[in-house]
Amino acid sequence: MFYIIDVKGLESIYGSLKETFHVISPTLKDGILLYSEDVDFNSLPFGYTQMEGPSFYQLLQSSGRYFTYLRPSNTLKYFLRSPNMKLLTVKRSNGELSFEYHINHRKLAFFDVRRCDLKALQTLDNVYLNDRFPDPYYRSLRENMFLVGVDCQTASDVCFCHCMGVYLEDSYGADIFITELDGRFLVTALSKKGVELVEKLHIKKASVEDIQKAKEKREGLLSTFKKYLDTKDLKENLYRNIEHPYWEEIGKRCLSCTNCTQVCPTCFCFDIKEVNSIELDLSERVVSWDSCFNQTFATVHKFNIRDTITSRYRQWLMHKMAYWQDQFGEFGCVGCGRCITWCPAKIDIQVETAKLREL
Amino acid sequence: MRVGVFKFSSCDGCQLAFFDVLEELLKSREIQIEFFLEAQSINRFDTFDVSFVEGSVSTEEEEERIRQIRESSRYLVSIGACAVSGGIQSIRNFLDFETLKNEVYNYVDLHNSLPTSRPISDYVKVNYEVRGCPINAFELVEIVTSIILNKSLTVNLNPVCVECKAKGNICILVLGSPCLGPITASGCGALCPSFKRGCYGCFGPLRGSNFEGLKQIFKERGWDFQESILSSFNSYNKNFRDEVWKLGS
Repeated sequence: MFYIIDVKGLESIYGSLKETFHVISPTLKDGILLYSEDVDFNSLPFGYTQMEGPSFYQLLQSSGRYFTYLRPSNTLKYFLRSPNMKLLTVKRSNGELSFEYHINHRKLAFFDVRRCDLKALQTLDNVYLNDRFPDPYYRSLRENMFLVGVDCQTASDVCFCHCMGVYLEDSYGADIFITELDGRFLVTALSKKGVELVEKLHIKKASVEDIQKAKEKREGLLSTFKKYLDTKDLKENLYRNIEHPYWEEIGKRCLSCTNCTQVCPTCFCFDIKEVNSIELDLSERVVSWDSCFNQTFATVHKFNIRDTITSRYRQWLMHKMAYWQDQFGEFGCVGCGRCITWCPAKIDIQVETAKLREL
Repeated sequence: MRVGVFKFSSCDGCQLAFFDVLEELLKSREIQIEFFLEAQSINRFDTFDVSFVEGSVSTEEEEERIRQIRESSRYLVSIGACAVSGGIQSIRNFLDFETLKNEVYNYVDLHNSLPTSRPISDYVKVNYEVRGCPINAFELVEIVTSIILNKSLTVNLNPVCVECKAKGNICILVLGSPCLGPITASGCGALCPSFKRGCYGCFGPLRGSNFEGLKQIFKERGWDFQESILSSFNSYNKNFRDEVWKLGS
């Protein structure tokens, strides 16, 4: 179902979401675009553009247009699996134990998710909602969620989603999708929830020309990408070079700071800790973000099987680009470029992968 | 559980952390504080299940005293940058002691310092080190709880960056502030970067971190790496003492 709205229509969609959901949307915080909760419609970063490069970020106010900015620097996973999340509380009272599971039933709506992040959500869903071991904490948030997808108008210098299986019409999980035309917006309702929301607002149906125009806009995006990664036989080529001395070169530069894994929309590794009270009557089980760059990550019986930074970087890149294929039949990288922007050592995953496949 | 709290060359600030969590600690009926000069008038030096030691060893008297404490304690925990690394006073270890002494003191004869200020672990076996200047008081509660439960303590080997991103911060090193976060142990909750100020390493160097890599980044951006490290409370920490020596040469 296709509809056409102006900026007032956009505002009414936003307002309507706020009636039912905790809306999470991009906003400016200290000069950076970040997903945040409870953002006012007037505080959406309309008209901004991002300049991003290896270890470089700058925000500019540019045009009279709206969705000219790109994906925020943080990701959906920050809200779906927050960095320190309480799973379980065990209490002891009069010799009896009681268990409380902290399943989160909040209804979240994301307003403005780009196609790379929708693809990342699909990747996370494949991890957390698989048939064998579905995660009830993640599932609860996912089932209650509303997603508004938005088309990018340009690619930044770090974007390469077009090489990582993100296609122009992909809209995984989105309930509605918005494409900016000239001063107006094409709204595509993709789910039952999406249709219901839009129908309630009594907005105009889109014409065939509008739909065609949106398609052309999307196609125009392709010519703005500056990065390219050849993914044909990528896995095989990387396996071939797994012992190549070039990994050492990256290992010398990498700080093992974990920035890349933490801004990555698909990195999901975690650690679980039991936190006990000093009176020994309470124990809390907390799941925290972990990272394959941490030294304790691969420590088994006090022995770290990946003791060097080189081996940890290799693990990360190989997991994204090769092992993930073995595990899940897709890449673990969606080409959003966040890890490139936020690496203090200017290590660029697309450049390094391209190099490693050719060696 | 018999607890002792001891002070060596230091500012007393880490002992104050006990006051922040004293109520919490005393919830446990198992804890008896036997020796804590800063907190109580009646103290008994006998044997201890756990001794918390603040400060560095910088006099001959302290060399002797730390051995006595070690012999009397089941567990010895050094607390704070002075005890763990040598503290701000260990900057002298990288300078000429005699020159320094004559410049600073009028009556050199009254002065009985050793030429170096050293961490506790340079003298005796330390079971656990609590980082920070000052320490994070909640870590004390965690240690005591773990000893009561006989639960093994995990040594923190994550950089500040892990806590920093978990708090939702963006990387200020990328945005142009000199930050020692990537080579510094976490535990502070990324306090400084959360206020847009670069980490200056008060929790001390992280073993196995990429000292050379960060040095290179500081160099490219025109920041003084040597100054950042040498003016720190932790320059004499065993984890990068050798690298710091190389910086000066």
